[in-house]
Amino acid sequence: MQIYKLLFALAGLCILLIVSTLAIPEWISPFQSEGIEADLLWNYRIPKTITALIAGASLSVSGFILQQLYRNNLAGPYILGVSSGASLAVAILIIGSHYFPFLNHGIGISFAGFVGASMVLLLVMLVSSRFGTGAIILLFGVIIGQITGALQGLLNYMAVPGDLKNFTLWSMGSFSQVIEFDLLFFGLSALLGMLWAFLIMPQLSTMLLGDEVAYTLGVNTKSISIQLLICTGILSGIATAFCGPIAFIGMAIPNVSRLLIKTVNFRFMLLVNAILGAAMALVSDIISSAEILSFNIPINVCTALIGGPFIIYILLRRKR
Amino acid sequence: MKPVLNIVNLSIGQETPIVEAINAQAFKNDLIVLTGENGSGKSTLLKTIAGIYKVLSGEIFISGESISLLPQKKRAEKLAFASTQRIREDYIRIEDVVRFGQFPYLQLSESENNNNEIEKAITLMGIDKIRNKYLNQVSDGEWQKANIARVLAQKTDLILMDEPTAFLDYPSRMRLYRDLKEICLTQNKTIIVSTHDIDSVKEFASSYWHIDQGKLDILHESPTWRI
Repeated sequence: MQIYKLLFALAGLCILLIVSTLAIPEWISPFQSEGIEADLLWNYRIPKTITALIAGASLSVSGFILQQLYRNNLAGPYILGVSSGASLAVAILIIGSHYFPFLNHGIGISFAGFVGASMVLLLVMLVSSRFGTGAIILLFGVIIGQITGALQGLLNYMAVPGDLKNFTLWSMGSFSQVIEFDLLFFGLSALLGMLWAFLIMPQLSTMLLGDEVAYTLGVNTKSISIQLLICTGILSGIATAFCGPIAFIGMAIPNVSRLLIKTVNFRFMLLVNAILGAAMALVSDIISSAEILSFNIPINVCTALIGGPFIIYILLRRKR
Repeated sequence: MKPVLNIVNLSIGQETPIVEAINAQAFKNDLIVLTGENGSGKSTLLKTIAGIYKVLSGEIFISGESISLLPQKKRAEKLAFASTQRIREDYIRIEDVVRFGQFPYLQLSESENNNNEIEKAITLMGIDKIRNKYLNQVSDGEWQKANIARVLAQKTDLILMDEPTAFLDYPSRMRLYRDLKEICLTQNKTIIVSTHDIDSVKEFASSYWHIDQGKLDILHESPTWRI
């Protein structure tokens, strides 16, 4: 039953993949081997689609992990300030690379994203261990977002105009900046984060009974939490470094998954989240590139327009 | 007879001791009710025995082995712990809760033996009919049955339950204690249950441990026990 839902989602994802690479904004035949169109297909659209796929999956899996770890269905890499932490670290690197050019490199940027994300995750972990995991961590995340935003404003002042424009575009979210070696690196690190998380999903599921009961079932809850935070740091940090701080995917998709599939098999849930997250990123990308408004709508506008109303629905449903 | 649980000169507390010089023993087929006012240290004692909190001083032996020397994974095969927390997640079924009891014994995938133990626990608690209900649809009494089935599926000699009657009405409480007594005697378990409602447990316990002003007093068994 549930496996059919998964296959159904996979089929949907494949259709989205084809639409996103071949049909939007105009049809390109995949059988052309030369000319501008083939070039556009292979060097622009396919890398962009793969980037969207990886970023969407990474963000929703990190959202799923954070929501389960903190038992809070509104948690996610964006609202907890994890993406902001990654952004700030990347901003520092991009603007600093004006003085130290060797830093401005795909691996350098993704490392900065990972470090920034992990720092915020560490802070969230400290706050949650002392003050609980309810509204406080969400508020904490929002404030972290404000502070890093202010620091970025300061950095913008110091930036040269070219860097400033790059950085502003980056912060609106984009899947079209990752190519060749960077794309390979992005894919491999996302795979690493997901495999690692996949292995310790059963332990995370025992924590549904509460951390104390999980501990007495033989689960080293501290170690599992820390490992999961590292996975989240890799997944959301590197996705943010390459694609900008993308909102709502990480928060909305785990809720969609829970509505569709009710199981405590968290390995299965991780796969569902990865597929649906990738699908949402592709849909956003399709809307973004469809040239509805004669220009590409920024990704963050699309994810917010799709994800925002859904989150409000989840909130109101819970209150009832 | 060797004690299943042997507590020697134990002090408990998170940083400063709240109960000191605890000496107590529990044997097979004992159902011990742990009483005391809120904040007296009942939960702390149970969680210290379970290994969740560190021992401040003294020692705890389970079936003759010191818990500070037992690795956490081995401990999960010796004692089971159920917390007060009521879980209402709408994607967890009663059966899923029971399945977690076999978690310490899982190999790469679920074996037939795992499933047998789970079925046994479900049958024993009579929750076969509600096994597919989600936790947001079950009563507090049904939730506690699932909880007990879960600790039974964990196959431990010692079972610790922290205020299982906290959310139950009087008839459900009586039913729960009757269930616990039956399990204790027929399945050869040692069960320690904490509660602050002393009245309803009179004829069910084999002995009472009462915490008052930093001391543990032991009152021995009611004469009707084991009948």
